[in-house]
Amino acid sequence: MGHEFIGQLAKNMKNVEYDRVIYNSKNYIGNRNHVWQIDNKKYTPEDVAEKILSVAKANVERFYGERVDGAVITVPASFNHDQIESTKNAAKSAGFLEDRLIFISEPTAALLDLIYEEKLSDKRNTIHDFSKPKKVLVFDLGGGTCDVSIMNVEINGDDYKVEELAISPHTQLGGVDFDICGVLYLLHKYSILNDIDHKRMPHHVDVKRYIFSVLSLEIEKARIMFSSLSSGLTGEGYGDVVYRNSLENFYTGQSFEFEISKKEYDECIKPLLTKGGNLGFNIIDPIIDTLNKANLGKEDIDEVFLVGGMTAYSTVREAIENFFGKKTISYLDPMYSVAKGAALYNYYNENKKKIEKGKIIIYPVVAENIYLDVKNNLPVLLVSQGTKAPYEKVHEGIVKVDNATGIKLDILSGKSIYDPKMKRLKSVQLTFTDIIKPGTPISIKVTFDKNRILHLEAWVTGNFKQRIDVTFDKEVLYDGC
Amino acid sequence: MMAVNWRALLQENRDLFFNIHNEEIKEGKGYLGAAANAEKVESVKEQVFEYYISDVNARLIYEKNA
Repeated sequence: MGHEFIGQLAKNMKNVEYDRVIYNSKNYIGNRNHVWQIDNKKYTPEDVAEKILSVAKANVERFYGERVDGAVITVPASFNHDQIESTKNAAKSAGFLEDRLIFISEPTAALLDLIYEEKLSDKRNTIHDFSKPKKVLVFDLGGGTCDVSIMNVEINGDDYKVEELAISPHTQLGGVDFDICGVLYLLHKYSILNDIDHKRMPHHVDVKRYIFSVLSLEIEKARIMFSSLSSGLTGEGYGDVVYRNSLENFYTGQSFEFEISKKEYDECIKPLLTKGGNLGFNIIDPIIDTLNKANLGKEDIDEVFLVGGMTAYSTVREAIENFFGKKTISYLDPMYSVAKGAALYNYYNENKKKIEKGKIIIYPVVAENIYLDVKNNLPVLLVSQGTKAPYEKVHEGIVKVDNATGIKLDILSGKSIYDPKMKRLKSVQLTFTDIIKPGTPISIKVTFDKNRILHLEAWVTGNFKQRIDVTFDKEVLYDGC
Repeated sequence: MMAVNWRALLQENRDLFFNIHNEEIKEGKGYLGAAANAEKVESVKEQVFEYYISDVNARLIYEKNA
């Protein structure tokens, strides 16, 4: 068994130890059914998060020469309470103290960085004026997720107020999907050059793992080259940029010499950038969904702010600009603005404790409607999307006892009770210590804390002292899509 | 090796090259990095809608309670 490497070191090993590298673990956090196995050792997404946070903690402690026990952790805006709670558990296991953990959404953090940079710059050089309230849509396209948030931003003197208005559903679409489109295209090319159908190549999983890993690295390199060489060359008539390489011992001892141009690659990724098509997912759908949730049209958005590594690619940026019919903001480093925003939030949060002036107030919202599946009837809406956290509400007599010792209920999330994509998030077990007569109504109190984590309390309606044990089922039902 | 005229070939075979299906992408992502055992959870749609809030039943119950 070898050493474990985190971060850039692990990324560098994608080529040589392709079957021992864990990709996109953040996409699966909150799902305990997803387990990677390397050398008979099992890793859950929470284990991976713990290792990443441990390394980050150790690096900061080494740099400052002092112990660090608190953190501002950014998560995708669309993370549900299970995903946030799982991230919190990972942070606790990494040695952070629970009461010193703050979770803010990634788009909000990036926006804080933007506002701060604008404020720092000389008034004459300010490009985007935030002195009046503005509606900003933050589009965050990272390695594995596509996150859209609409926020109302207001700056009052030294105080920043960021109110989240609507958040997109959790959308698993990111750089890795753009890579695979290119990989499949290169495999088609290989089939033609070698007169062999790549779909009929021997299906040994290790060979496929090697082929997909090396080709996805090549596509990533090509995209970086396209980004750096084609900047400024836009419009129909511009010349093409071509990436060429040769892979020794690619398949059955033979090499694969190939080329891919930017125009070819852009054609490959078109289904991911265009509404409709046969993929069933693209970057435009979550934007439309979030605008609908906020009851806004695209013309109501004052600024569109791009975040995440994939938005640095010009074709992605152009697709968003074409949709909105206006220029986007993307002049900051999209890779680091989230981390800088988190640091700023911490600075202002600490400042708030000392002096009155100069604070950041964030109003986070619940991303999706949350329902309680009351048996033999329609699911009951517990919390509607857009509800600001922290939040609490008592639902009197929401469910009736049908079994004398306990009830198992499901928590669902979706756009409406008719949503065909409604997901079951988790099961809740209500356990009665004393037998309760069937037909007795039960009241439930729902709480979303400031970190958007869901808590439930239950009691017999009309008798607050007759409390009922509430346990969330360990069996995780969230399917991570 | 590079004698293939890709531009012409692409025009002739647009469907073959660019009509990628969702399943192909999902399968491809599964081949990246270490192997994972992921037990996919059955869509709630089948469980919730098929059993007792099928679209028709849901509307009937909704109308009854509205």
